[in-house]
Amino acid sequence: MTHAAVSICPFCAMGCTWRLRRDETASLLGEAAAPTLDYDLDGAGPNRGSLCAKGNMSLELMTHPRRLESPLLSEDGRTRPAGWDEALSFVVAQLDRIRAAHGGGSIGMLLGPQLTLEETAAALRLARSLGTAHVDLCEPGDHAVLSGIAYSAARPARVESVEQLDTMDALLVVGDLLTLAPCAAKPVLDARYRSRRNTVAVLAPNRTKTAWFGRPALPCVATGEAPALALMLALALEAAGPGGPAWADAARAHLARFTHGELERRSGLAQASAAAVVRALAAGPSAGVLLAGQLGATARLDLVSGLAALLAEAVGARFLAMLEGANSHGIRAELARAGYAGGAGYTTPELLEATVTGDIQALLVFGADPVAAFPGLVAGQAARTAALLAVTAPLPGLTARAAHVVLPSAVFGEKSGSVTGAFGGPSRLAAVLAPPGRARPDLAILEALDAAMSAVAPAAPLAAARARERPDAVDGFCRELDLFLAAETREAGACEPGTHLLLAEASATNAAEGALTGQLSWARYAHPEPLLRLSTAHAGALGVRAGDRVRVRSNWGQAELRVRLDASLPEGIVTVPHRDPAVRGLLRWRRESTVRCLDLRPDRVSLERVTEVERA
Amino acid sequence: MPEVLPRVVTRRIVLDLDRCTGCRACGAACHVGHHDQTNLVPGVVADVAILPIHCRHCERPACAAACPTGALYRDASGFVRRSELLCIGCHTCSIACPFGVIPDELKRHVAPKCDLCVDRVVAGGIPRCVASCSSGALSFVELEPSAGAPEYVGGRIQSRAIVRRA
Repeated sequence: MTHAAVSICPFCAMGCTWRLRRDETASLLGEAAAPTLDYDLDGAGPNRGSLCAKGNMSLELMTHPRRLESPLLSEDGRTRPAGWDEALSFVVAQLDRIRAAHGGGSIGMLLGPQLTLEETAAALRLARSLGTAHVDLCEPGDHAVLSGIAYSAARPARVESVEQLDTMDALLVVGDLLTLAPCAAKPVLDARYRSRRNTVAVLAPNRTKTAWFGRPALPCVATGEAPALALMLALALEAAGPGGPAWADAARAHLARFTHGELERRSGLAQASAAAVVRALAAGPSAGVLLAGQLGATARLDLVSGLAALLAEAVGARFLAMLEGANSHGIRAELARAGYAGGAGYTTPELLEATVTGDIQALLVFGADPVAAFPGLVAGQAARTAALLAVTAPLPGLTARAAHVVLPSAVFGEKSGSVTGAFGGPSRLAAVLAPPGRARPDLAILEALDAAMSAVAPAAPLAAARARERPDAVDGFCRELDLFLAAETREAGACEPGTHLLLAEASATNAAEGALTGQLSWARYAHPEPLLRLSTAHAGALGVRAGDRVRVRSNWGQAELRVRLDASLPEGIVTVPHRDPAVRGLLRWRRESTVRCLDLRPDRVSLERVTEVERA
Repeated sequence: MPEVLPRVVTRRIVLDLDRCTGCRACGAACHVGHHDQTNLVPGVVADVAILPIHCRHCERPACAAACPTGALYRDASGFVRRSELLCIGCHTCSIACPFGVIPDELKRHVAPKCDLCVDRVVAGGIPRCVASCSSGALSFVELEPSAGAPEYVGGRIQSRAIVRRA
């Protein structure tokens, strides 16, 4: 008998569908056949039958050899498998103790971007019975985008379906959309080729997969996305004349502090090109601003996404924010609906800092890996200092390694529920396979915890939300923008000859981004070799051409890397993808108990060209 | 899997250079669909593009002519196939192929060779790489020349408009 059902791709917010099939008839050897993945579903879902490389390899997640199959308990530095009852009663006893001693406000909850809407609701119920307001989405990029949009107070019309994208004739794409969501390529390229009059402008500092198709491509300098969008917004508000949306006057007054020439210099984008794109967006009967929530580490994602949303509203274009987590949009909306977003409790970075200072005693992490996602020291320290760290995870990540309790959970294809992707509107996913071993879906774990906590003690009243300075929406956003624009670019000129400033890029390439994607062999498949990005001017001085190999020496180690030239990098700055094992020796590490933490502050390195003779 | 299709198949995989984004979904689909053997090699063009390079299934295949054991042959349906039992993994085909579509790395001691997903084509389907292509660059089309059709050059659609790419 064959069992098949439609599920959703967990690797971005596009919400592509695929059909998972499992043959229940045992083979002659008595083994069940391996499950198979079908993608050509005659056009169901936004992917219309196709599936990107990540989606194609998603079956690997279900059949991964390192899947966690039973709860793990850590005692005195030793980890041992335990039963569910033992693990859950340990968590409940610890939570009860901490709540009695420090109150419900000392418990924090982090939600991974792959939880379903049902699981999010269950997590919020648990938060209420624990009496804590500190619940947040744990995905650095998605978090920044969503808070930026919320903070800017923009209310642009949303792109509601992929069919709406099909008819657009003016698009502004910010960032590398086709790398984050390759399945969005069809409508974008259709707009590109349908008519010679169509505009598909791509704003990005380097030549990405998406910028390659831009008409026009708008290259800006590194960190130039926000000033470029500010310039476009200023031009759009000028063209529209007085009036407009509620925030228009405040934004106009603020942007008047910067001359167009200043914004032009800061972004590296010519005013004429910016004006042409704004005209095309405002004139088109259907226009859109598409934001890829994955820019280089040097970009301020919150400012960029807020400005993109403001621009979309100013020119009357539809807006789409493509995120990395399949349900990040949905989780954020659920949090906002329940009153948890917008300053009620700590946000994820604040929560991690509060754990280090001892303000937060217990950290419950559901389907996320904060130590990997926030690779600075804070997350590692938080994992070490928390009196209780309980993690649900399908695969052992860095956070799971430091946790007191690890509860094995299910991935998409093994659990049913609904998610809300970038287009809004929930879509259903069905369970086809059973989770491996004794693993359970997060929903079952959350409900068991909630039931046990309610049995131990009645729900405490919600801890009073900490009053925090939240400036008025648009003004606050503008002030942030002000600080950012006024800041000088970098200490570039301070580099001595032969010395460079090394930046470890978190997300300039999509290699191994995110806790789940990083586990797939896709990560190595899509990016077989880590590249060192070097500014063109410095490469000339070193006598290095694109594709040459250079030896990079830092205070911590050395590595030999191939060079990719990038005209947009400020002089004296080189970047490497920090998640790559080949470059990790170069970076500063600190051991925090059981966890090694990356310190991502810029570091001095020296470069030296590797000659052919040396290699031979 | 049938050894020979009931009819000659004249459809071939064609790549539209104007649309390929280099996402490598085609290679991943091939990898997953052929038990972790990637029969589709990526061509890296001077650090600016990654394009799939497909087997042309030539009328007079150089790989088959070079194969010392007769493992490579052109079957009655017009597909150039490789017998897993006869292949000794000697790399001769990979050297002989003028398009460089047979990779050097062996998997399970045999040379990876595109079979045009014969299991799907026999059921009226299309190859996995074409089905998975997320940008619509790959198509599985009749190669009969007809009026108004784009011109095919070496299995690729020649650019239909002169477009300047910045």
